[in-house]
Amino acid sequence: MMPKTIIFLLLLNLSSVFGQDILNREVVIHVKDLPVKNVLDQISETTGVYFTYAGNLSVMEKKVSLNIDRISLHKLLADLFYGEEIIYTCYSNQVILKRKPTPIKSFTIRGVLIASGSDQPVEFASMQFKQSGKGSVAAIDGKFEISATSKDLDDSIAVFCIGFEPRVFSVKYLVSLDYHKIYLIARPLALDTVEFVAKRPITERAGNRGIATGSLYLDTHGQQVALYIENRKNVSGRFKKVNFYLSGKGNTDAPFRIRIYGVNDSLGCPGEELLPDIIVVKPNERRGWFEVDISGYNIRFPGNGAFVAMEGVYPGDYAHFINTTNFDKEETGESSGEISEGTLDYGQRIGFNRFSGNNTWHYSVSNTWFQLNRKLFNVMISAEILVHSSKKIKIRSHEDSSDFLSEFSNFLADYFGAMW
Amino acid sequence: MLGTAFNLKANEIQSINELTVTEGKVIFSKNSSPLEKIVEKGKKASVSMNKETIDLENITDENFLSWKTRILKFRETPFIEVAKKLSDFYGISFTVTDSALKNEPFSTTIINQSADDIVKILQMANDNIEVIKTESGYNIGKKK
Repeated sequence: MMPKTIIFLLLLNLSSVFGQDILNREVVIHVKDLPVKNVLDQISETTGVYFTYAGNLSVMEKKVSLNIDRISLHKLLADLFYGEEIIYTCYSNQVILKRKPTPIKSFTIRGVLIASGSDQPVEFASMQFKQSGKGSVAAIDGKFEISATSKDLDDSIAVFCIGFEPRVFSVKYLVSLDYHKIYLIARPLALDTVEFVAKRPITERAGNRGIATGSLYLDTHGQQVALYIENRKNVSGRFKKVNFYLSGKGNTDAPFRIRIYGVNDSLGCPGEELLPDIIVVKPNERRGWFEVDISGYNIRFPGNGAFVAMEGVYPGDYAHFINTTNFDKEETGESSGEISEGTLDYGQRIGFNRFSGNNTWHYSVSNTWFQLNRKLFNVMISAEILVHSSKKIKIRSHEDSSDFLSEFSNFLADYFGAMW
Repeated sequence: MLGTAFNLKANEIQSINELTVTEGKVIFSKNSSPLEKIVEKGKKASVSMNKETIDLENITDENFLSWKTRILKFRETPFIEVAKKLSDFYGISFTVTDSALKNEPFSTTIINQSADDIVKILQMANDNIEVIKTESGYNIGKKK
């Protein structure tokens, strides 16, 4: 008896041959001023070959006259669609018609980001395509290089950097020039109130602040690791700082992006993005806790908790490093302190421990979020939440605005901490 | 009945009876009512239980006899309608999950082909769609 696998392979082969064979069928056709789509219907009636296409193909409305007694379907289709940018493939008794794909043209957008007024380069600004979401990070000297294709021409690129006003440029404009000098304006402190009554806030610390038992590697092309921070006391407050315990074994030079997410109610994984801007930071510490003040973003700490995440980014076009991850380099130890392309094919390592009650999620560009084993890999991320207490302070404005600003600054220092 | 080919379809939920005639003429009447109409080839008649008229209209759906002919024809038909017909025809769900795809026209003729073949043809015809097989059928959306 013939094994089942062999029978299957034979059938598959016959099907494939049948698919191509239909193009050899002979057609007789006599039509006058008939739209191509009706010609195809006539061909179907006489040959048993059917035509499939998606979208509106303008050639279908084109009227043709044919007076042919005998021609192969292959040759007839070649004549019908001559010069029409149509391609076709076969499957079973179907001919599938498609527009010939437009060749994709590549562009490289280059330039430098400069702080307006000081002419100093702006380091590690993020540049992100608004529609596709892909992005890049400028280097320490403010220089950037972004790859784009003709598919991106209707998109725009937003430039973000902490402490500066964001700017948005159309891709069409960016590809029209060889090199760009983009000036970013420092974000001014907005004081828009004259009388101020507020409750004195207290700071609650939440998350995983235990002792590290190991560290997790984070690559530099979009991998993320997130810790769920529960709102155990159901406090009403806002994020003041987020903290990351960075291992000295990672690339301590590597910048990373901070992300904050709400909870996806159905899956329990990171959901809605709560941090509106792209914040990329470069740690200055060799190891240990690295804190970032995000109080200026006024992000509410949700009642059902939130995820604080770090994302590996590459200054320049990080796509360059996809598939070149070298895990052997993760233990190289001391860093040079310099940012150069060669040192950034691997990123930070974040500490973890067996801290219970929280949970850690992981995301890589090719996968969706998945939860790591909660007992073993709880990454050391924490957050400080400003919670309002019942004690109130009151500040009144003065005729002299400098006195008011001084008093207001004291209040802000009390309210927000060292940042002010 | 006057020597004909026709199809009678009853929708119990909406209490509507529909008659479509492909050959000859059919007399269509409502039970316990003097109401009746002659329905000719190419016409569709419908009557509802709570209505005292019989509505007549031309048959516009090329696929109204697909259950019998096993042939489905779509001519630049919005994708959402194609999915609905495929669901009826194969008895499994074809769900369009991307609103940008719903009104995209699609043309094909399907004769005695399996649902899996149809999905393959859909994907070959449109490079931008992604089909996910589910327990109840297929979800069709745009590639991310």
